[in-house]
Amino acid sequence: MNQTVEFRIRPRRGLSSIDLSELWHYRDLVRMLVKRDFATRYRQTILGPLWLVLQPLLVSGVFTMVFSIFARIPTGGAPPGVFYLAGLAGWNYVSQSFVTTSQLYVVHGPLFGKIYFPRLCLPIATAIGNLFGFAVQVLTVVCLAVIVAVAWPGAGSIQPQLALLPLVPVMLLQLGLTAIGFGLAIAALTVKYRDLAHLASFLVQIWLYLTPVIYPLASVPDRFRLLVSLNPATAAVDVLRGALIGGSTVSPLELVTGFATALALAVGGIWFFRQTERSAVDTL
Amino acid sequence: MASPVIEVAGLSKRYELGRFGFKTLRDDLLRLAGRKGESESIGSKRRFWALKDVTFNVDQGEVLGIIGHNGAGKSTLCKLLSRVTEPTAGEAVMRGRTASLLEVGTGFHPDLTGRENIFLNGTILGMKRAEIRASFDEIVAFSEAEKFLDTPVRRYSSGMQVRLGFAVAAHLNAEILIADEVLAVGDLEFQRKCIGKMKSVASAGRTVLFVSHNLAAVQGLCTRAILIDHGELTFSGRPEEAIRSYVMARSEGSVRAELELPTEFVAGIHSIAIVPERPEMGTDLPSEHPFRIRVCYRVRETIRSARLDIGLVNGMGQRVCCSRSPELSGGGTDTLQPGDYTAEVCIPGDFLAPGDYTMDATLLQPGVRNLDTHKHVMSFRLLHTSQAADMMNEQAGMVLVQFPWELSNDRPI
Repeated sequence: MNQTVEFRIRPRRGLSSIDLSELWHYRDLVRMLVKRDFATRYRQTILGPLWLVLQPLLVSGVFTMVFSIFARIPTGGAPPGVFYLAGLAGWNYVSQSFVTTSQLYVVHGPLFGKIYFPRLCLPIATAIGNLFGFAVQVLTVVCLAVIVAVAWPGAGSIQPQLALLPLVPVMLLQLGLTAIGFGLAIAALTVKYRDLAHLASFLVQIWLYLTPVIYPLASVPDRFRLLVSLNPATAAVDVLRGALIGGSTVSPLELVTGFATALALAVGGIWFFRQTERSAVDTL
Repeated sequence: MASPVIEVAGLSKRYELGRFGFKTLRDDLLRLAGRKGESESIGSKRRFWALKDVTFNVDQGEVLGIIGHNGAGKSTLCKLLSRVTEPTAGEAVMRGRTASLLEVGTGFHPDLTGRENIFLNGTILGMKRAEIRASFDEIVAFSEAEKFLDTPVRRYSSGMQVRLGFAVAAHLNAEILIADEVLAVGDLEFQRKCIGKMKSVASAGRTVLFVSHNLAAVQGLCTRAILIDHGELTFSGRPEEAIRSYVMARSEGSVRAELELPTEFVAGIHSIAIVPERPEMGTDLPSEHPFRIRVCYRVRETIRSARLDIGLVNGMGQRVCCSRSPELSGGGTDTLQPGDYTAEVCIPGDFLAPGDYTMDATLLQPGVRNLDTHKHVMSFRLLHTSQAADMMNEQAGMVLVQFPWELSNDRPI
């Protein structure tokens, strides 16, 4: 028998710390959950991972038609289809991770009543697993950008800002933290109040318009820039798109604001989730 | 001696009843907006202690049985010790990793195959992959699922899922195994296998908490048992004694039990009495003497073809036998007119093995409906007095039977 582990079971009081050492102990579980998500999501669909390519292409096609051709919203000189697709890469990552996390109790509630493990493993696995989708989408953007640049040289400027590449992992972390913190807060709220069940899909709709996916960050008037950069997705989407096709205008202050908000959301969301976690299993 | 593997001290859990889970934001806002009077009426929801100040220790290698009525708090205790829910007060220390199987169904993902689920479940229980791989073959062999290993679990029968769940929990090297009602599903063959496995788990030095309504299994398996009644620990000690006090708890040892008739009924039993051969015997009856059970019942509406069932339940909670009356009648007709009636049944001497008993009584129209049912209504003890009852141990069985014997001497030496 290896070294004995000792667990103390007692009522939690006050501020419960986020037990990072316990999470580390369960890293195998996170890995298994990532694998599981992957297997269950793509195994039994005919299109499989192809869907990861088709979905953003279809959405950016519709965006091009509605926002570029009908509404004539400028894309800062970039070819509209490529512009939307590159913006959707970061946006899809954060919004999908957020929605999945917000449904934590709906999907996993029965499991929570039967077995203990740090609940945080699930959203972390979601955020890690969705990186695969993000990678596929980045490849799609690169392919489309090359095709457009070669086939229609006059369609617009595509000039990747390679200086932004080192920021990419930070931006992904920022989006992951946002999705986990925000998603857990919504999960906790919906388990407490049943009438908030549709809150997440409603929030995602609004959030999309507050994030520079359909428009470039450069088109936001200066007096709104700081306000917009409070949204952690703003800087991230702008930087990720900049690294792919150029056009990023994010400032260092906006980067810091975005990351600070993401961190605050993560800590606050996890704390709030932990507060409701203790009674959630009893009321499910 | 090492310190106990499980130390439970003053563990309590309170649930709030009434407005269970259907809270809406509107209600909370109304409460915030409302005056004190209103908020108090909402705040006065009933509180219910599912577990109250429970204290006990379990040593390494013990198999602790946990028995009690439905809703007594057994499952709550298991959930607390598995860390699925948190206590309201008190503390428990678990020295070792805990694998638990709470109620039916486990943490399987329906879209994953059996193989993947074994790994996922093992990892959830905190095992490393190498450990799971080491016991993988044993798990598969025990669950008899080798043919279905690469089939998604959603296509498994429920029995198969429980088999696999038990196999995973029992074979992983957790120091503590909590099994809550694992025998409730699955066939007899599997139950036997589970019990055997839990025995070997314990003899390997691991600790088992075993919750079951199958009292015979508790007695066969456990080294010690605790009895939980209305959230409180009322007995801790040898399994046989725990079981006896559990079975006897609900029936008071009087010669006559007055039963409450429901306000709306067609026909119901209102009293049951034991009529010994000699009145001074009370409810301690010599086992060789016959005695009578008298049932008084009341009929409100005319009914036909009604019968009475009297079941005798021994101290192990096993139903030893049941006797069904002929069709009840009152004076020549096959119908029962409204009124009070009495029925008596005679239990012969030297029939029931000595020990403690309770009674179940049911008034019914067979195949139609149960009119009135009472469980564990009355307790009595059969004393060990006669020659036939001398064979009083496990070899005796549940009843003493006088079969005809033929004896002969075939070849004198």
